[in-house]
Amino acid sequence: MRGDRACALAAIGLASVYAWLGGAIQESLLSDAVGAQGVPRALAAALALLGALLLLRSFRSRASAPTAPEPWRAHGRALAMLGIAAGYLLLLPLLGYAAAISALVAAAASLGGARPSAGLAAVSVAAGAVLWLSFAKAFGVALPVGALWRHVL
Amino acid sequence: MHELAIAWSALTSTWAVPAAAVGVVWGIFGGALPGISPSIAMALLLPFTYGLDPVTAVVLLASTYVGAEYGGSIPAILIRTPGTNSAAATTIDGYEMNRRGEAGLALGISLVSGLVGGLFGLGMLVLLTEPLARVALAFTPPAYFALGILGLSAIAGLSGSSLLKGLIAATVGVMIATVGTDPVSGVARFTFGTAELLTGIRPIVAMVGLFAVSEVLAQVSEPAWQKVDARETRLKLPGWALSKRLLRPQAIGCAIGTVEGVTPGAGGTVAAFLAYNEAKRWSKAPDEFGRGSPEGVAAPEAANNVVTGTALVPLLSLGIPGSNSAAILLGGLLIHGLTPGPLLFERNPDVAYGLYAGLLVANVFMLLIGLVILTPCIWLVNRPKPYLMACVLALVLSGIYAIEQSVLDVAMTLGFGVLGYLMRRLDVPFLPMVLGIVLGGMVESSYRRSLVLSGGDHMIFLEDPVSLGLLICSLVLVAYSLRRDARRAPAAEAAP
Repeated sequence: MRGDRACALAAIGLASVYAWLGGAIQESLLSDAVGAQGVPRALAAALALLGALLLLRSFRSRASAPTAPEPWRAHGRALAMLGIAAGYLLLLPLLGYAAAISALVAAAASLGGARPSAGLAAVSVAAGAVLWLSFAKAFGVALPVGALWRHVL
Repeated sequence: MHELAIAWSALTSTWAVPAAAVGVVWGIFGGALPGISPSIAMALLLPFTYGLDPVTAVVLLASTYVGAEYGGSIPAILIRTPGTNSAAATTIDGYEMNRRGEAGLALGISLVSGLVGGLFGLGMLVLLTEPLARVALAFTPPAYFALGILGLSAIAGLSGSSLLKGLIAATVGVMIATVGTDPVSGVARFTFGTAELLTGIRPIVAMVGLFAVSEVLAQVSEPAWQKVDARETRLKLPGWALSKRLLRPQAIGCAIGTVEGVTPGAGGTVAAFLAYNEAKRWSKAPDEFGRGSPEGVAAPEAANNVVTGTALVPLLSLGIPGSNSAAILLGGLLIHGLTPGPLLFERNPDVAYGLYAGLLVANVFMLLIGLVILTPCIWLVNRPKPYLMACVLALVLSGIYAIEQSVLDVAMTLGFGVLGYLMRRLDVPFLPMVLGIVLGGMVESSYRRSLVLSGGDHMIFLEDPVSLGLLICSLVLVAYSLRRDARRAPAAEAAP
């Protein structure tokens, strides 16, 4: 039931923010009868109503046996993985795609329990090389070269 | 008979057969990489078609389309990452089968159902082009609105244990679809002054985040995530008994894919979700859906592969490209000075019938190449989990970046990953959200265009016969789902 209440409150909160942002949409002279704000307004109202119904249901339904909360350590590992992905985005313009993606593979695998070894290094470099060849060479995607290498080379 | 002779001659007197093989391999490779859509894989080959004869050129492009639509299901089943938008529905039960240790069978079902769908779609293209073209022409803005509502009616079946939570997820999905430019006035909405958001949030960005990134986050948060399960290590085609059971979902997928394919703008994604929902509704074991049902793999795979044939109906019969991929094929025809439409069959029958024959060969190659490459793919995903998940994260971040070379897209994918992770914890289904994102734009734009046409009169939705029929279908399907759920709820409570 705690999950339902959290979901309902999140829905009501999101509906409020969405309605507030929707109110700031400019209306155009070309607009139709519904207008650019019309659908967002209806969606915000629908979401708020659904959230309220879920909240009501969570209070009316029988309380179930409380479930053990998940240890924060578990969420911490997910957060750390997210941090690695964010770090990759920050390093991308500096190190370039090939080096940054290899670093991402090494860091993410280490977080999962892979021990620092020649194997880990080999997998990271190989994954980076395969992805770079697939996207940059086969499909011609322009991937960042890296500001660092431009200065070095 | 005369047409068969033309098709045979077109195949044997050109490089069309090797081109079909190359196209299928290229398409599977592109389709399996998230971010490389079928149309991108085709567009990248377009410059190479300049020097080819017309038959080889169109067969190369069409085979790439066939391969890419199939290729999207491979990562969907193996790593919960839909390679293409239309493979999202396959992720639901395909990945659950994989988790149960049946990756080989899931891939086998996907391959066989893809072949069945591809051949059925080709049959429809060859035999029923004219009547199907009339279906495409019958779709007015009110009919598109009703088609979107019919798609959204699947929410009732995809919401799992709580319809209320499913409706919340779907509403948030439609809200996400409102980001970008207003479809009538062109005013920017929820873009926060960012030019990159003017085109809206791409469904693939949301799907990859919700399915793949959230899976990586969920896996890493499990204490024993580095353990490798004992799994199937080889491709396994469905046996006779299972094949008989899959006939019904495949037939449902073929029927829905045919109608959705010929409707410009609808496409394989809507077809796959609708087919999944209907297969669940008509199944003898609907409770297996979402827990690794073979029928849940067969129906969407048949549906999105039928579309590879039927999506060419408006192009070949009317000269209208109904999808991005058909538009690239149109480009391939125009490069060679060919005019698509009815005149193509009169002036260049070798190209038209050669394309039909090329599609048949492409579907056969899809089966043969699938048989060769799928076992190594299974081996690849059975590597130790820390390495596998790290590579999945690297693949999805690279794929999303490849679409527009946009860091914002990658950041949004991570944001959707966090959202998916939280939704799992709160037991909120994210399939209705995906459906809302895919259909939200179509529903809003066709609703408002209809009202512009009618001067604000809502009766237009009931006066248009196609719209009326589809709206009645939606009502019936929702009522059926609600009645079934209401019957099941007391039974579930009574169970020990």
